[in-house]
Amino acid sequence: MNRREFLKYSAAAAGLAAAAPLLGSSEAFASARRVSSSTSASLSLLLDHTSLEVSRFQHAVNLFEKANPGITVSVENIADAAAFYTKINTEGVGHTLPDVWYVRTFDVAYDALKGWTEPLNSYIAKTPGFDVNDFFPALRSQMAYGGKIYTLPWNLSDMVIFINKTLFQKAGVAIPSPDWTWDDFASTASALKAKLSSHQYAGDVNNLLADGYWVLEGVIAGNGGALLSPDFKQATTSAPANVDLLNFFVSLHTKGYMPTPGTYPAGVDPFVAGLEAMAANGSWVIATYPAEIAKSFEWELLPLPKGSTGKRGTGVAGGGFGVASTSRNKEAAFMLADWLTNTSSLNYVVSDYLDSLPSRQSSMPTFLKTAANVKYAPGGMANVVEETKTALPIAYPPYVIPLDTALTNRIPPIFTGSTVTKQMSALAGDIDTMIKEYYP
Amino acid sequence: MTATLGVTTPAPPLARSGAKRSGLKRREELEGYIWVSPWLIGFFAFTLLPFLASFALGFTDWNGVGTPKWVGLSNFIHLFTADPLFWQSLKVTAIFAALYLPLSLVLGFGLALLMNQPLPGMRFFRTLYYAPSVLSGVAVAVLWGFIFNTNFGVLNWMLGLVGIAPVPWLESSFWVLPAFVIMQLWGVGGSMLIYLAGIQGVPTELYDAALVDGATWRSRLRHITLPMTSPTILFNLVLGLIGTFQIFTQAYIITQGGPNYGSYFYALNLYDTAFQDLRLGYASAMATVLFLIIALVSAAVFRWSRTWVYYAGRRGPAG
Repeated sequence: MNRREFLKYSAAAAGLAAAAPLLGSSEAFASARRVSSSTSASLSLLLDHTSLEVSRFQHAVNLFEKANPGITVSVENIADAAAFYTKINTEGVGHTLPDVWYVRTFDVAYDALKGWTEPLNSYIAKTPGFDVNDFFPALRSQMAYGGKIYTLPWNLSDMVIFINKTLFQKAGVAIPSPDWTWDDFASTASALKAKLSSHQYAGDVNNLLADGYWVLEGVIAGNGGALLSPDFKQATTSAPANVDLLNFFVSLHTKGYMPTPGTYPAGVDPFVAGLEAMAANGSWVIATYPAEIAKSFEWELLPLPKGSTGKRGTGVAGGGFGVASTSRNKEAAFMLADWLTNTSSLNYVVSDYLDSLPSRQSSMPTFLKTAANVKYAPGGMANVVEETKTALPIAYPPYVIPLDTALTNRIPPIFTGSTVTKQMSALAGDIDTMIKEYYP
Repeated sequence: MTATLGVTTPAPPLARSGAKRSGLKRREELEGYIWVSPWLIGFFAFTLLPFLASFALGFTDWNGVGTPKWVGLSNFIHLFTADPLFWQSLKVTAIFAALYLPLSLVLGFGLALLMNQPLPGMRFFRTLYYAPSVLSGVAVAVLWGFIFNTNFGVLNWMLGLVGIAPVPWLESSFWVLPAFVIMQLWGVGGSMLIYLAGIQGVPTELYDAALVDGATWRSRLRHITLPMTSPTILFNLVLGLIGTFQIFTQAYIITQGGPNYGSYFYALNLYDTAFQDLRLGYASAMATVLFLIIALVSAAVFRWSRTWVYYAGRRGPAG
């Protein structure tokens, strides 16, 4: 399941989770930074989350209102991501955006470019004790555009390698160390393939190529390459480092270690089905896998292998809260965004529910404590945290949406007859057209 | 009799009060407008006005925020000279139309002929063939995504039974359009039903006379059924033409236009431009071009139809 599919299916999961009790207490927020209680405002907050998460947000909002008697907050949630974006786009056009809404990091540049979100630097500067450096370093670059901060991050995801320990044990192959490289990945896959059945795959990294720019640019950067120039105004898709890495992935496919993209129908997760010994996927499925896999097999997590630069090519994607530039209560809206993303709020969110990682490093102890208590929890959660700390600070270009469409079109054919060189050249042409549109 | 003799039947005498009659007529007209006003208001507010607004926005640069900036013809110039995806999406849509339309006409008509046979259980089969037409487009797209799966899809499994190697239906830019044609043909039951109504409207005495004259099945089809149902064929052709230029859901759900933009239909390109990139002025120009293409092709079809469509009620040049 890739991130897009996850967003699609999360709406269904939301229904199942609706009956979950509202847990926690105001003590969890005792250490929350105090905000001014003299402000008076009526705010709107738009979310794109599961019912379980919304119940936690509502709890945080209730405490926020209690701490700020003059401020009331109306919470609206649209669990379906497509419907959520339709609303945001429509309200952005109509200048009726909510005061605060959930902004994914790949929307930061886009929303800022449209003038929908308010730069938050001045509000942050006025807030005592606000520690920007507590956010994971990779997120810090993504919450800003043009040197200004537009979003306060709430969570983040990255890609990790899911290991089917049971298959490794049956094959008699040792699980690699977290310090592994892509060469180690290939040699492990080779050893596994000899022992697996014909319908099983040793190492599936399709999700690294299929989930969009935020993942691929990271993996490529770990190999010393880049799809775009730092100012986003030039395509560098055909750089040798890019081509080498993609050819390496093609070789994994040619040797039969990984399936062709699209092998499994939508909704079928081959790792959960026990068909893959190693599989790259997003950290967000860590929340659902324990229940789905249950006792079927043992599994654990490894960080992505390191690239030829010796660095791990991990990109991150997250979400946070932006303040509408059209809000009539920007000060209060910032206070709400700050409240939702402070350590106490984040600790409460991850106190008994394991979703994507919280955005602040100060919440990691609580996150790991929760992870250790989850039924059928995997091993290696510390690897995920460590990987996240060293994730690469990759920012998104404002044309990331058409770029993702282009990647969806240009990457899969490298496994079905076309060549990496040809596809990268075509991708460069696509990007050139986007650059002309966005930087005329 | 009077018509045969060329004598014009005199009109009935006018009502005594002409003014009173026209007053009644005016009142009836007013009532008529009042009765249709809900539709008229809806048409003006939700069809004509957006259409005109879209046409005007095609000459502007507008991302949905602020005032649209007048740019004259530059959107159209850019579209035709500097936008490779415009041509790609147009090509994909045209190829799809060229493949799908003839097949849908033949298949729909052929099925209608079969469904017109006086055999037991025919109502069941009519329902069966029509059923796909009433299913949700999204559900159908997801279903066909499974059917076309290269490794686990039922279609490749069936082909494998006769020794044909798995076809990468959705992974190959060559096969993806035939896959969409097959998918779309599954819903041909809708046009089948319209053909069936047309076929059943052909006067039986024509067939009786032909049988007396010893006409074969093929002759009856060629000289009676086809000419008599030609208005229905034209109707389905025009609707099918418009529909193929607007195909969107299946590509949006299954392939997102891939691979290599091999299923990047015009409507998908338009949607991405308007609602993903929020380039509303440019997308409006694309919509205007799409409208012009459909209008021109439809006009050409109507003109061509004069040579093969037979309207039984229409008088010829001598009539």
